[in-house]
Amino acid sequence: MAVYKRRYNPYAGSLTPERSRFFVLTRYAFADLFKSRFFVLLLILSLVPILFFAGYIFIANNKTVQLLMQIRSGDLFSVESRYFILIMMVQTQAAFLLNCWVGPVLVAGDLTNGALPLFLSRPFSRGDYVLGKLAVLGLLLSAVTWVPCLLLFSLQSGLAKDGWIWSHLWMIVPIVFCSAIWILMLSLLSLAVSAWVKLRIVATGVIFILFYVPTGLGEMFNAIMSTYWGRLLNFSEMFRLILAKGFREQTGTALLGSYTSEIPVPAAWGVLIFVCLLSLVILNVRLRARETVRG
Amino acid sequence: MTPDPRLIVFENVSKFYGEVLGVNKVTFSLEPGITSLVGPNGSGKTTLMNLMTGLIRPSRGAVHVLGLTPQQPIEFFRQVGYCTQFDSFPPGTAGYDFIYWPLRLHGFAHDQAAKLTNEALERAGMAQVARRKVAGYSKGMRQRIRLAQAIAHHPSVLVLDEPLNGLDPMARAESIALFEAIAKQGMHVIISSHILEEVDRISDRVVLMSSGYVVAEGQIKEVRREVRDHPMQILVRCSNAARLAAAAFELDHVVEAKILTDGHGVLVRTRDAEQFYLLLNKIVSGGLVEVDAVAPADDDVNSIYQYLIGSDGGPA
Repeated sequence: MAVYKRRYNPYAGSLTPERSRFFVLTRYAFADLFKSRFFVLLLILSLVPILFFAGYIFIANNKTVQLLMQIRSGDLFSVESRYFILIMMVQTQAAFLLNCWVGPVLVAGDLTNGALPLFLSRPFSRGDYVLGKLAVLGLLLSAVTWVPCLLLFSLQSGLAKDGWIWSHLWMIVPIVFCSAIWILMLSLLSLAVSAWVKLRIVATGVIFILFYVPTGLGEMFNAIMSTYWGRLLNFSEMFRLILAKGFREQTGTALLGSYTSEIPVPAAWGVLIFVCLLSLVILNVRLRARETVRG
Repeated sequence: MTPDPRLIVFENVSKFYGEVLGVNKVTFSLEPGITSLVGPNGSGKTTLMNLMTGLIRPSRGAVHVLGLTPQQPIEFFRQVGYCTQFDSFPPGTAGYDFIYWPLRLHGFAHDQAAKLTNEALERAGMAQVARRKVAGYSKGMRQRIRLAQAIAHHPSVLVLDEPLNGLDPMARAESIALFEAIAKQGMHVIISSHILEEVDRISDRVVLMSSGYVVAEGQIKEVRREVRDHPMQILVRCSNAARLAAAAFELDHVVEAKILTDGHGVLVRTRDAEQFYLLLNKIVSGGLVEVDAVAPADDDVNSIYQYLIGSDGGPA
């Protein structure tokens, strides 16, 4: 039956670079995400606080507007590190909500439909797959955390006088760095949970549970053992601790949590890094090309 | 030893999923053409295909596809096209996107990927419905879009897991014609199925599997010849069936000669078909019997499967 001759010429032209090929998955995911009106609404809502923060910076730096609004300068917050911590705290929570919706959409569908062989029977590894999906969350959560925060920093720099920018330039580091660790932890956790439970809605629920149930358990542990180490299970608070230290602020305030001051910062880092590593282990176990049914 | 760049070679390959056996000590070489993996559910066909496509690594042994291993992913996956058994469709995907995006993963730039996508859609007869969502496709259309996706990047090895499942007779015939056309271009086409009749007609060779083991491999007739200890059935349509049956019984290797109910033929079971054919020649040349037709009655994979593993290869 077969005539053992090739009659076609395989493609011999140029190919896109291997290193950036994971972005194909990212672009496809973005194209898919932006078809959802709910996602677009959620994204817009995540950026709404930025408008208020920007308005506040504008008013805080504009005497005329303050006079028109009959506000005395002393009544306003000064736009300093605490203001940027507040922005970061609001926006990282917005990122958390966005991540709870988007993370499961990215992976659960592929696993439910057995689509991994579709990707992995290409010159495309599991690492590329995770990287492609992480890039979606990374870009998206960046767009609601450090990017607008830096824009607000630029706005303040432009409006403030007396060399404000030079005395506050160091704040760029904690803005970017603290956002990065939060984004990385959220993204890995949501991908891991999605790969684990496979059902989108359930995965969203489990991500919420993973943030709130351990917090409650930690408080119970604290109450029973008369200690404060149970706070290590409160991921948001561990992040706030890192954030405060990054912005050279003292903890133990109403804004930054009243108990975390007793937890050493390296322990907070350890918790977040442990969550990231655990998520990677789960992804490594669950993301397999093998189909579950043998035939 | 350098593996032959023309062959798919399994060298003593075993795959275990923990304590569960996938395939065990599989050794064979496949030449270009259509090869069918046949076996009941759970026999290890999909494991063998996953090994062939680099989706899983063997626990022992080595797999070479056209001289390549999955450790050379760029070259390896360029050569292999895989059409899975399951509905591997990312949610909300349109038929066109289902082919286009994987081509981008292969590294094709937009223009080339679009060209190859359209070409594959044409070949699979799906161009008219390419912009519709896969979720709205019939089962047959899903099979064909999967096939289009598998052939889109011009692979040299096409691995198709149960590709004819759910196809109506027309689509089945079209798919088979497509497989044959692809095989004639010199490609490897590996098909798995538990429906023996359909692969019997189109295959150049079969690999029969049972419980993770390869029980026989080769061209169907060769495999049949290897089953020497099982008598072969030969159907002879002739004018004087009783005379032929009597003559056949005189031979030691003939274990049964049954006259057909219409009286115009004999079904002979023999351990040595060649000796029986010699006898038949003598009888015919002696003018004792007029023979209308002679045909092996169990020279198909179904019969072979029954002989080899005592099952008809149907779903377990």
